[in-house]
Amino acid sequence: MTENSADGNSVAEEEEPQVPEVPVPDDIVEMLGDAIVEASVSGTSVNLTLKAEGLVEAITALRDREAGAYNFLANLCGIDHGEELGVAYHIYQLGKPEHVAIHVRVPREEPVVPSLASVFRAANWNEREAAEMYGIVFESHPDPRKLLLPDDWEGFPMRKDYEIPDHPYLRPDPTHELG
Amino acid sequence: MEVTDFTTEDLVLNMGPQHPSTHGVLRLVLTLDGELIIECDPVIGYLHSSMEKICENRTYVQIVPFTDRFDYLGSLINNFVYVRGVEGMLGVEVPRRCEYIRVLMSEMQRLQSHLLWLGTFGLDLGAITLFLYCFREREVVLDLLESVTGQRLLYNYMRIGGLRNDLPVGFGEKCRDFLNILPERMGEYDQIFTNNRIFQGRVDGVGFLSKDEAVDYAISGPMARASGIDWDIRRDDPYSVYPELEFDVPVEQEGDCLARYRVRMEEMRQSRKLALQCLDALDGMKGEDFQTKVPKTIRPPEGESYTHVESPRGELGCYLISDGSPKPPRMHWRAPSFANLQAIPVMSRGGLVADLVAVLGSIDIVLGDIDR
Repeated sequence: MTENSADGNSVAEEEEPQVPEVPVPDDIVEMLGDAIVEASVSGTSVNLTLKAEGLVEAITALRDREAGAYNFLANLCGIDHGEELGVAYHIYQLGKPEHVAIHVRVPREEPVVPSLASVFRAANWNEREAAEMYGIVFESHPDPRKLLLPDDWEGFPMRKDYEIPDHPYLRPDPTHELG
Repeated sequence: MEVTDFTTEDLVLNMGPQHPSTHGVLRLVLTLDGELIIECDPVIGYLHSSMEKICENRTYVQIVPFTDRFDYLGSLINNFVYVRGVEGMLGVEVPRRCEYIRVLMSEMQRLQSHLLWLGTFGLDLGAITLFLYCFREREVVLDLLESVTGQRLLYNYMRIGGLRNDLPVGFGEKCRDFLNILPERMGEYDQIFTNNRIFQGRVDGVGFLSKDEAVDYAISGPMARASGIDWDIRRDDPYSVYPELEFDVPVEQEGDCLARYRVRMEEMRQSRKLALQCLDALDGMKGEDFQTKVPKTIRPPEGESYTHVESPRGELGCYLISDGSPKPPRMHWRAPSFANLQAIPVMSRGGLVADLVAVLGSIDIVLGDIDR
């Protein structure tokens, strides 16, 4: 159920360590086609790794899927994978436990992911948060302002290599002994 | 001079961050045409404490008290979703008695949260008496929770693989006493508030949110059910012992503030029902274990999990990634208020400024949950 990505979107793990018992629904494989980098099923969850290109079309297809539409964007968040940055999406079928868990990985130097705000309006704030925290650029986002951080904040605090800036409030209290 | 010569311009008004009816530090930038709202832009982040970053530098056990502080009106349910997430990754099953206590605590917490919401919703609309009535009952719930956990707000009660301590002696009777008197008290609320014409006039048809928009904005919980979405995670993606318990899921079709009010009022009655069933079940399990053995250092196997439960405000999710070390490299909190607040421009557009206060009250936001 895996298709190698042509552009060498390198995933460190060995592919196909074991054949998944439950196959990914055929219509999803057919619909998404080349966009799939990796796919598996565990329980009620279809786990997909998708390419950043064509993500909007892929998610729109999942949203309008005939055999159970994935139409409730429950969760969207950024992840620091080290070499790469990523975005995770959890999209549910409304009122059911069935969902897709989607991962998108992009290179750290050029972290560009298409914005889903045109597909789900719920993505708007979530993407703004991921953008300010991880420095992921959401292409054609309708409102790319900062959300939780102050407007003049520099750096991306949720990245693993973020260094806490020197500020009197942030210096450890010398009278306070850390156990 | 002719009358047609005068010009009008839109007025930009800041509502908050210091405003009595924004329930914390929320700022709404309003663009007004007279008293009508043209645009409403929520500005959040005043309470941001980077809790997710803090959690990345703590062990799995150390994170439990941090989860209390996300949605501080649903601390026990926050504990619940987190420990369920970690237990799921570890493959640990907890004893049935523990599950029943967890559900009982969750429902009492929901009752507490909805009572506070009802009181403050009344305050927002100018009904100060109701606030005092609700706090009378909420105080009893807090006393009950305090007798179990030792705390009144941030309980830190659930543990990975169990609970901190058992229920105290005599808890069942005290809890039943309260739950038995609750319907009568709720009748008082109805008399005072629900059937009050002034209240009805303030909320009926105000803050409309259609079903399609609710799905688009990923609205969950009582707000979604007030817009005609028949979805409750406790019933539709059941967890813990909820499949063994009997309860109804109230759904309203109107999608306005009154519908959201009705849904929450009915949910309180259902929570009472659930809590009574848990108490009955617990009576039959006296002396049974409430913990299971877990390793001292918790190292879930490599992988990830997304766990969700029904919090008083909607779908509360916990996304965890593990790399096999004692600390999670990523922990994300799916906050229900965060998603629900995002729809406020849609609900308030074209309405009056005074109605915005009613809309805000009916969303039941907790800023600690939104800003994290």
